[in-house]
Amino acid sequence: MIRWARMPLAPLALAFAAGIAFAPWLSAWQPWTVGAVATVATAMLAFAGRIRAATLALLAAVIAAGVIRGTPPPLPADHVAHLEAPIVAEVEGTVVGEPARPGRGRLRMLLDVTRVAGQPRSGRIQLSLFGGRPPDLVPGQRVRGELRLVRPVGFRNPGGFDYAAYLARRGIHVAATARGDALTGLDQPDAAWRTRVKRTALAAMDGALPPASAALLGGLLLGERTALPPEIQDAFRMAGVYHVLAVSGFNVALVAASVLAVLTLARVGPRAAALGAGIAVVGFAVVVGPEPSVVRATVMGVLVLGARLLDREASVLNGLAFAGLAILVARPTDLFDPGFQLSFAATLGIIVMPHPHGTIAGALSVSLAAQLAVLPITLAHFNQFSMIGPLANLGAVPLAAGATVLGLLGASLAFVVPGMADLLFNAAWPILLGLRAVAAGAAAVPGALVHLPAPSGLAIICYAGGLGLTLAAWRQRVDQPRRAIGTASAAAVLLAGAVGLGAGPLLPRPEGTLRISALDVGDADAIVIEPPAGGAILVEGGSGAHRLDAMERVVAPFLWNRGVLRLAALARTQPEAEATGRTDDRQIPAREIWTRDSFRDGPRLAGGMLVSAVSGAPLILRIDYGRASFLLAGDASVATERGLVAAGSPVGATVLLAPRHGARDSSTPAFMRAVAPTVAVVSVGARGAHGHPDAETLARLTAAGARVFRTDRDGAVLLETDGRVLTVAGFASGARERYCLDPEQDC
Amino acid sequence: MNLYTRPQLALVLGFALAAGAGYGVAVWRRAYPDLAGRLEQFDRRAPRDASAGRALAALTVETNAAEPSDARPGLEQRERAPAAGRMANARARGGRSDVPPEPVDVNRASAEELARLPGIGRTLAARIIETRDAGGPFASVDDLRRVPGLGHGRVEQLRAHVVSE
Repeated sequence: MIRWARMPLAPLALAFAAGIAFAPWLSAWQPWTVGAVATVATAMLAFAGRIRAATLALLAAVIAAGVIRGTPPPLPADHVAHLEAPIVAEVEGTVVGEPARPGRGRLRMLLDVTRVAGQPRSGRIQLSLFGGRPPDLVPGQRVRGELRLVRPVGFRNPGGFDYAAYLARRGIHVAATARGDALTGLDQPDAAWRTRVKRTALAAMDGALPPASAALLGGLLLGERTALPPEIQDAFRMAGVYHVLAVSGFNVALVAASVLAVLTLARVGPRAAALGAGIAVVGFAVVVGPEPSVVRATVMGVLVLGARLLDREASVLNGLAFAGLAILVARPTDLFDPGFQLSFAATLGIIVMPHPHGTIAGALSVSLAAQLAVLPITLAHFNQFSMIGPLANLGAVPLAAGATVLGLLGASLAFVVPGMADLLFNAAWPILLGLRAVAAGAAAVPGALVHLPAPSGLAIICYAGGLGLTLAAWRQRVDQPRRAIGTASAAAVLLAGAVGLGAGPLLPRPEGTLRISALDVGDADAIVIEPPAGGAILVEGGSGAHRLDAMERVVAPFLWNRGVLRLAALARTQPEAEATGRTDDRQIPAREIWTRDSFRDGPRLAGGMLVSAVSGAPLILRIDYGRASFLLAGDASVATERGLVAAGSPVGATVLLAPRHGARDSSTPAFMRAVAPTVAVVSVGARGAHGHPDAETLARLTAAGARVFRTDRDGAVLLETDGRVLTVAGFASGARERYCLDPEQDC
Repeated sequence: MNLYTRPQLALVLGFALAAGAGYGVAVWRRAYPDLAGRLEQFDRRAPRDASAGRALAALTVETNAAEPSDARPGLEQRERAPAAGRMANARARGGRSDVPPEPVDVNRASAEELARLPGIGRTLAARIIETRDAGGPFASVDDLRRVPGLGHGRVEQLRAHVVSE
């Protein structure tokens, strides 16, 4: 049984989190009134001695509080979000936090706006600087510059990461861009001590170690991993040991333990030592920054040390609940942050799972507990989990601990005796190399990382319930063996249900419908074709993928969530063109690559539909299924269009995937007459720099009788047909059309 | 008489050991910089096929100075530096200061003339000539995308410098 009485804060934290999670649905239900009534009811029921009812009323009140806290307050009248965007204006503001360097020549920071075009304004924006020479910026500095203000837009695809919503949760409704030299500092404040400490420590590591190792140590110690080469980060992720690169309870525990050990051995009294360790832990957290995992670990660490100070036993679960409550009250939207979820789930898993004795067995069990607890979270956010993780952690965690302790010592000495710090960093170097070797080795194991569709909410609930009941059965096995069997079977049913629900998308679809999805990837084409008989084909085109990794960040998750772990074929319309931003075939392997040669012997039957190439270079595919036909004209140039019309190629189609993002000189009148589409889909980026799609081109598409769908307005465009009826849906706009393709029949 | 306890001695010894090991490593690194450099690089792969694309992309980014690249959750940035700034930037950074002042006719230009354009090197210039010879003259500047390796970005970058007649 769960002893709730020993952790009085846990139900409150859960209720508050539930309130935040369901705020969008519950906020219409008068949360203030409900909260007030529930509070009064709690008082009256408690007074009347009806404790159980009072408890329920209290929980209702806390849920109402969570709803109130989780509903974003209305923006003030002078908020930048009220400005017409996009505009270019002179903006004045204060730098918030340390600017990040996400790539070469790029600088990204948060800005608290004070003035726009001379008028007082408020609100936080995210500013990205490209190129130029940005001034040296420190947190708290006032800056001014001519910035381009825009509404942030992410790619809007089913199962995709909604960047705009992510920013909105952090209170950012406006993004800004400028060249680096467009920004000038209005004052030159001294960096805060925590910034100076962080910079000095990182500089000391940089001075003593080669770049990649220095960056790794910076990640281990301070969670500062922007300088870490991406292939090393990939290896850590695949090996399932990425968590050592984030500051967590691990670092906090090492800081506390190191200080405690040194102070105790220096014959400082136990209370003074606990106090000193507490101060060190809080100082460390302030330097590292307020990520949820840091705050959680620090709050719990301080609670444990405080209990030591007061000679009382600490309830770890209660501490965890307190940390969660504190974070959620201060920043409710952290609930949706993967870092928050991973940190709390892993900690909870480690605390509640019974661990065997013995160093290796115990370590393996801790690692396994954490992995089991975070499994649904990593699947939901990243579609992946590491099979090798529990094993890799056995090697990685001790190495990371060693390097962290040496690094911490070195970093603290860097302020006193720089020479000594260099020696300690050098001593950490072989350990860092060992850690990298463990990560690289584990990542190289076949099947180290598994990609799966994101589980549904119901699957996650079944999974959590199953794990909880398994735990309960384990605890009952001695005292109540008979009940334990019942609990265990219930747990097995729930876990089986979770697996079944989670594997749902992997099962073959009922045959007979062809699905074609034009994904929103900006000024590029990514078209996923799911033939009637199953499988999936990806057609990529447009060489100007404006984000290097847009394709793999959008296309791969979409396919995984559809249960496609392997492509039947991958067609690149310009096979020789520069390979920027293409789907990495390590993520989604393809059985076949389609080029013009694949169609040398004429049309092919693929998964129940007919695929033919109407042009070889660039590759233009035509798909026929029943009465529906699709022309994928992605990269057709004017000359190609002209050639196709002149040659009388079979271009007439129900749906035209319009050429070249609706460029000015595309979809010429003659070509449109030949295609005569019912529906035209333009794959184009919102606010692309090329001015696509062209208004006249759109007019030509409409004039040809086509209903136009655009990925910049509609998000991903999802087409589905059984050969008789065609439905078209815009994922973001919600636009839906249905066409009957059989003129003889009513459908 | 015991001045220090065993844990105290262990702590001091451990610290001395770490410092000594660090000194040893530092001396070794100075003595064999090549070997140390190779060790440091063991898990940094040389550009493979897929990452060659990325490297190429990085080059494009250099000249465009506008293409964001970022780790999750940075799926941001449809916003870009204004196109004009981008051109100026490409010119400033492209390393080729001798961009022809007159627009170049892509249907008549020689390989040398083409190679002087921003973002076009010898290889791409040769490919433009090849494509022109094989597939006929370019109907428009946009038609340059027939050339393998010329994507949207490059064509847009070229637009101010070329004509097709």
